Amino acid sequence: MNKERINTSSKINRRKFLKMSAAAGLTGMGTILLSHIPPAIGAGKKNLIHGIWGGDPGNLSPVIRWDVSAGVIAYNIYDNLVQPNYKKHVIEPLLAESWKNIDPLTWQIKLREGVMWHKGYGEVTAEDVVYTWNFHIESKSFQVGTALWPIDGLKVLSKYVAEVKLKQPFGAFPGVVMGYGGLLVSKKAHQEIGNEAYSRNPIGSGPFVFQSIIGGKEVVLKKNPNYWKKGLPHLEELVFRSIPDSHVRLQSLVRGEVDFCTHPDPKDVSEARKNTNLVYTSIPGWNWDYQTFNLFKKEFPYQNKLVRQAISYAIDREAIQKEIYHGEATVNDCQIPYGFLAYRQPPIRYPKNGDLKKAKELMAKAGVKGYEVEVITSDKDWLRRELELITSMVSQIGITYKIRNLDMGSFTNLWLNHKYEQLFEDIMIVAPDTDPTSWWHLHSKGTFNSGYNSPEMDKLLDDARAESDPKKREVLYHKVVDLTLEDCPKIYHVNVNLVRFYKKGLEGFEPAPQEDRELFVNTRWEG
Amino acid sequence: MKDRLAYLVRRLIQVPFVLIVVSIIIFALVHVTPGDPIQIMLGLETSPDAVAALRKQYSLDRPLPEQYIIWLTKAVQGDLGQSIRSHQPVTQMIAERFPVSLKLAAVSMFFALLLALPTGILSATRRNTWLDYLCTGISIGGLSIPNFTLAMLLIFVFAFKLHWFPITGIGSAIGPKTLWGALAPYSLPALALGVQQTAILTRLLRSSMLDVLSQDYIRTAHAKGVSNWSVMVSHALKNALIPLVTVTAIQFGYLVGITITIEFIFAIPGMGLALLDAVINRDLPVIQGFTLIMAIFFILANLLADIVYTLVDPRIKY
Repeated sequence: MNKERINTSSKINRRKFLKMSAAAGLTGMGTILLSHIPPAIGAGKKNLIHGIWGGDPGNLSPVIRWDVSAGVIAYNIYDNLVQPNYKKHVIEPLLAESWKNIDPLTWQIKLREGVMWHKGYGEVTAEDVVYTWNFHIESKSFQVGTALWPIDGLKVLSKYVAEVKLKQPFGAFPGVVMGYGGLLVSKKAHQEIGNEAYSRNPIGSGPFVFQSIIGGKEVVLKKNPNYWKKGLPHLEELVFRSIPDSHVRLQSLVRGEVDFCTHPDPKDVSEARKNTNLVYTSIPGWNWDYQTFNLFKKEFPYQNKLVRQAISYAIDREAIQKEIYHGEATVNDCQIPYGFLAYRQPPIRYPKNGDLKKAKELMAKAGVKGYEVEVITSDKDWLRRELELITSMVSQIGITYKIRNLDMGSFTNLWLNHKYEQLFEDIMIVAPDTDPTSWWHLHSKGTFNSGYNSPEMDKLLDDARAESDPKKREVLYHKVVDLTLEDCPKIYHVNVNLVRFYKKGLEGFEPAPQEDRELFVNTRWEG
Repeated sequence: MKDRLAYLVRRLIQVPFVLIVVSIIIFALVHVTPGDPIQIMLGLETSPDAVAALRKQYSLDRPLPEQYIIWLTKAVQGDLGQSIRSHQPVTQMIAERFPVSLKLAAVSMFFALLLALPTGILSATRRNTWLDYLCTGISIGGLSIPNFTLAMLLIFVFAFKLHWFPITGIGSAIGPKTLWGALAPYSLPALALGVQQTAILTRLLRSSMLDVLSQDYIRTAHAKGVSNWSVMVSHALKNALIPLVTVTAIQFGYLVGITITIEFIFAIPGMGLALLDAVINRDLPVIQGFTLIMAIFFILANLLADIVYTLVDPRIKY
């Protein structure tokens, strides 16, 4: 009797399984390779894709406060009244053709003629200047406490001339009021579109016209065909793609998905510099990272300025520059970065490698053996690492920093309400003038003041602010810095370099020390 | 059919009550968290007058219960407010981002099911063989590797070195206008998410299949001469799928809403990243609106799972 053989051919054994997997894998690979054609990179390019950091750029209207990453986009949509010349360290005309200080309390601004708003909203006139600044003032916007604080009255003198009356003399008017507060909205467009809608549908007069914003992640700008600088811009299209992770941003550039990227992780910079297809630029930024003491809290030993000086002496700033920023920072013990009026080659008082002996002497002189203090910082990863390094440095003079890392919301809440003992943060200097580096932080009425009250400092800052002669201002600011370094209400460490990488072949890009200024009006692709 | 409809109606009636409870909890939690959204938006250099004016505009100067009632009244009319940070209507933000998250979740889950079904079945039917050990090992590996670590590895190998897939580009207006151009950016993030889902579903299906395969009716079917394939698909798998359906629905809801790390790494403009931004900036309308939508989606996904049960197993009645 024949028994039916059990059919075992359907049984999967190891050999069959491996063969099937290999076949499936090869088929898959073939399909992928044949169907995926990488986009051409560089050939005949007329556009530029910029990988910017941060998430949704948010608002793009200059009358509502924006984030730095939104500023990068916005400064390509709007022309400012003036622009800083970073090489000559002067303010130059842009939308404003000229300006004059008629008397200590009066400035007149003459606009360039024939500059057109985007999308058919007519010519830029003095009415737009008056409208924009009045809107800021009436809506009590963020500019009221910063750039536009001295304005007492505004008037349209003629089609292209606006007159500004001030509450007090202000020598920094061109740099602060016109430089930081000088982005205008079109009166006609703003009234028609409405303030809220303007933030997602900006109308500027700059080299690029807003086209679209996609899912809060990608902003597309098109060339302004009616731009007042004839022949510019060269690029047809600018695309800003938000890529929050710094490694991924740089990898996207190397891979060719984007053409330009900023804020790479400092650890990745040296490796990326070896890539011959990329251009690397690094420029000391208009920023600082710093420690602040809450001088409202009278119980802490740091009330004694000798203790604060000791801390400053204990800091090895060069180690911070090397360990945290991998060389992409500039040691600076004061608040004035390179390029500002009254800049002096740092370090001015505190040695770049610190002076532990001096620090200990000062602690002894102050009669303080050591203490514990809580230091808050925000969720910026590099600041946390820097604070850990600083903690180890100050421990050598008996001070223990208890680090409290907070998300930005909680951090801002404590900062605003002065509910902290010590604070560590970084800040960008927004206006091309020395006034904001000092007045807002060190004047007893300054927004960022944390309990420091020195009549001598207040007088120096007020005098420097009112003075219009740059040479006299410089002398005053030197005194401000010297007093800052003596009293140490804040301790400054470094100015972080702004590192940018972009594809070889891109010409005409001028790196700026301002984090939100990446201007592509003059850029083009080779050939 | 009538029973199913009646069940559907009963479940839908419960939805508003569940949403009210969820919205109250979220509202309370968000307002208890320190941080003033207006101050964060305006910056520290802003005058107190400006802060007060904007707080009034967003009704943040009213008592909390009143704020909640104002928000709820508008929400039932479809107005979830406006982002304090970007000034964009929350409903518009959701309309932009929800489809992206949905697509990513769908691709990830499709990939996961495609792998999990055969792997789970193989693992169960070849129990204690090298195949079973291999599948189990891969599942455990998939569960153990954090998805962000896997994401970075995938980027490095498949995008950076091999150039097979792009890193970013989901939702881009300027990518290639082909099917591949539309799908390619989803590949790596879907893989990063899908591996973990595959592991979960494989383990679940294996255990469920083993349970079913040990039942008497399966032995009876074999004894009657029913083919292995029929026993597997017509008898065992159908019953083993029930717990899989539940977990798939829950996991799908999770994938839509809470894949923040993957969205961050791959720069995906989805719900998770927007919610993270909103939490950091204390953008209350966005937090409330997005959470509400995610809650609705979760509820509907689970409802759908319940309906699918009855299709998979007609014996189940509600």
